Amino acid sequence: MSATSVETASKKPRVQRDSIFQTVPYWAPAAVAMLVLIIITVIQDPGFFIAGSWQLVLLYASPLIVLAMAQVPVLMSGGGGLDLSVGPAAGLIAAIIGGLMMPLGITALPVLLLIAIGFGLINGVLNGMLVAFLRVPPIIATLATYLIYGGLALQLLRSPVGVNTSIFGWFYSTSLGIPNMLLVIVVLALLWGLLVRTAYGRNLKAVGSNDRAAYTAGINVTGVRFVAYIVAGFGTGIAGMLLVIVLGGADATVGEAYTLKAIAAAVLGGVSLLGGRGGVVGAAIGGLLIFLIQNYLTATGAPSYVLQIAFGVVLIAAIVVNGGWEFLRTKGGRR
Amino acid sequence: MKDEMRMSETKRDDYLVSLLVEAHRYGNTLAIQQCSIEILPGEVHGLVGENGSGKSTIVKLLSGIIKPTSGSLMVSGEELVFANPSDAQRHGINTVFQETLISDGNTAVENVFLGVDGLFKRAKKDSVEREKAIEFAERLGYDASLFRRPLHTMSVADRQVLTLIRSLARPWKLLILDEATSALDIQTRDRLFDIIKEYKHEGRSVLFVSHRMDELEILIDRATVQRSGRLIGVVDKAEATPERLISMMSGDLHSSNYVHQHAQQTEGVVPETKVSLRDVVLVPGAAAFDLDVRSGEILGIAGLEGQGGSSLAETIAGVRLPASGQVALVAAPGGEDRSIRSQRHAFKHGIAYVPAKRQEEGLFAPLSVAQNFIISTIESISMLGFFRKKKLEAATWVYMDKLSVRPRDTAVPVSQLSGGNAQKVLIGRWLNAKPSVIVLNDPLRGVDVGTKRQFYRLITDLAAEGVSVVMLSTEIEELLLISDRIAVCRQSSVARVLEGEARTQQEILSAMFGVLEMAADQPEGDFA
Repeated sequence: MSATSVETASKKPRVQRDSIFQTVPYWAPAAVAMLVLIIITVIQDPGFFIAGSWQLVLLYASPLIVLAMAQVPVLMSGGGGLDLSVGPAAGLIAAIIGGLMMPLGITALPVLLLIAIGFGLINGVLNGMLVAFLRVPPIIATLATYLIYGGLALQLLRSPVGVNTSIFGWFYSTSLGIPNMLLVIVVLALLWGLLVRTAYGRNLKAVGSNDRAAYTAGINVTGVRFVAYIVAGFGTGIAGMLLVIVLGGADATVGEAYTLKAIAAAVLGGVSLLGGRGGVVGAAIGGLLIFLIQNYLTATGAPSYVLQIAFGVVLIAAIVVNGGWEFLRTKGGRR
Repeated sequence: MKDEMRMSETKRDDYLVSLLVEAHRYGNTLAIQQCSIEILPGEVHGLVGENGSGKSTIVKLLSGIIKPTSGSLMVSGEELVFANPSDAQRHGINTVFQETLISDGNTAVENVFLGVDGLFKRAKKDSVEREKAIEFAERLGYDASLFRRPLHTMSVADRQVLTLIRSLARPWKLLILDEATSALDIQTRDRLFDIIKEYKHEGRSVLFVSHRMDELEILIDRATVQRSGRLIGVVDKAEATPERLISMMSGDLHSSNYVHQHAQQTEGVVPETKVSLRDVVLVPGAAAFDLDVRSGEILGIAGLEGQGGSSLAETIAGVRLPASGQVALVAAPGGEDRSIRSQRHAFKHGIAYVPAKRQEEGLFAPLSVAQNFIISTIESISMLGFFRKKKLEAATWVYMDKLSVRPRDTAVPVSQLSGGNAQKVLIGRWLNAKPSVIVLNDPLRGVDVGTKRQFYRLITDLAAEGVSVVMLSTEIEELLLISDRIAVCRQSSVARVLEGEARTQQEILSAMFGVLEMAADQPEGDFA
């Protein structure tokens, strides 16, 4: 057959020089924004790095950072995946730890941590079953659990309580000048890194990018999505524990406000709401970014409504910037 | 070619794959009934049929995408039920689909090995995967550089090569190519065909679904022909000539019985051109064509799915603009022709468009019949911006009666109407605008026979009143029954326009499948 003798040379692709947009990671715009914000903060408060206030900022930002990280697997799993329940779930877990377990005299940190993670996993299994097996749209399924957890937390803890924070000392201190809270976040990021180095990482990206392609190729789409919610539940459990540590107590109403900020943080960090693209590094940076904005505006004495407006504006900017980034990255696109 | 005696004695166990389906339904729609497909080890088996013949249902059943509602599947003598595509793959059935199913979030190598791993456990090391992917890429005429490129720089052909390698690089006994070759470039396709011949000698089989008669002719050993969801027959290579396959697909025995009712009615009237298409190119790279839509005619549009029929209907109605060329409204003598700029513009000048997906693109399911009916001509029943209910009722009832919509109640939500009645409401909406051209994009899909008859009446009446009707249909019989001229689309262009005596099922199918071009275009000994 004459056609088979056609040279393969014609098939050789144009050698493409990688543009800057293809080599730089997805979270680069968020990282740049974070640096700018840190500089602004330092100008406004020159003692920021010297007086140790940045360690404090990181401490207070940690629940939001971890919840933003928890959004990553569900957002990446596509199909409208997101977890609205993370805020109230963390709030409920904080109430269980600070309002129930610690008053009962359970003060061993590893036990408390295990309890928090255990409840987080239960929450993840519940959300995952609703979404992956019963095919309830994620926004509805997790709105339902959002409401349930909020109610349960109030039932459990009518008024805020304080706890003995002496057992949490390690979290408030630093090792070699690095706040231990940063280590916690780094360890969580490393755990995520381990997870995505297994087959799960590519399965998650495939399911999130094109679930039909994933399904026909033989990927267990239901299983991948189920696991995504369980991983989010794990993060929520950790965040619940951190709430108790950071607040030095438990408050049933504190969780709800975290949900939308966590989703906003993940989006700020370059995680795609459409699935397939993202990672916890971006989400963590996004979480810190939101907290820095809050910190800066509060320090300058701006009223709370300005804060709200600022979040909205930043979120829109983030979506535009990340969309533009993605466009530049794929420019020249498909031929 | 095959020994007739041996064939007739083949037991079900001797087949590599044997699928018998009594009936398969999607909701209330019967997709296939009394179908079977039996594939021998080491053969390339063709599966042919027009649109709606049930080919894709067979492929989906074999590849585990849908679960059978009745019937039985045997693979190498073992009775099986596939729960999902990974089940089918485990039993050695890999499928390459027409759509290039690629995940843009993964790398090229990852795309090849999607689904091979467990949820967490990797099946192969990166280096092994890479090596294997490159090996198959080379066999298809590509090289390792394919896997160094970002996915978003890849053409559809390159992406399809990845899905092809995906199916080749994991173990298989039966490879299903579901119109998978249409996205490939010719060199790759030829290499694939060579590889298939090698695999055949190893005793592996291929199910080749294609509407390319030339490809079928050179590749297949046997073919199963389906029509309207039923098995028509199985033919050997010797019998599987394009002419024979087409006549089996078309069931030409009854096609001559159709009487063209409409042509007689309009004879003697000099038709004027309403819309003219000049040098129109529907999608970049397709062939240019001219076409006129004349007053008082029914212009049918035929073509296999994805061959440009729907694009042509949309282009005439201004829903989409052609890649190049001119689509113009022809004015009365003395007036000036206007090129169509948009659907809104076309509608303002008398071109109505009834979309194909009536639920998604046409109807507002929760709104009432009357509201759905009036939505495009709301000015006609409002006064100073206020809605005049009585006028709405009156206007609606004219068409409720004319189209005999059931139930006879204008207040029920459209979502409660049957498919046929919902379609009537949609068509009534556009008729109320008194268009001079009405473009119907596959209006009768999934509509029952009784309603169809009413539609034929309605459409021929409209044409008799001087309205130009453009109607796309996937059913050739339907087009033969009512249309004056039939534009047959192929490769995103109008391949032929058939009128008068030339409008036979055979001619339409030949044009649809490009049988005539084949003989003319084919260079010696090649099948490009």
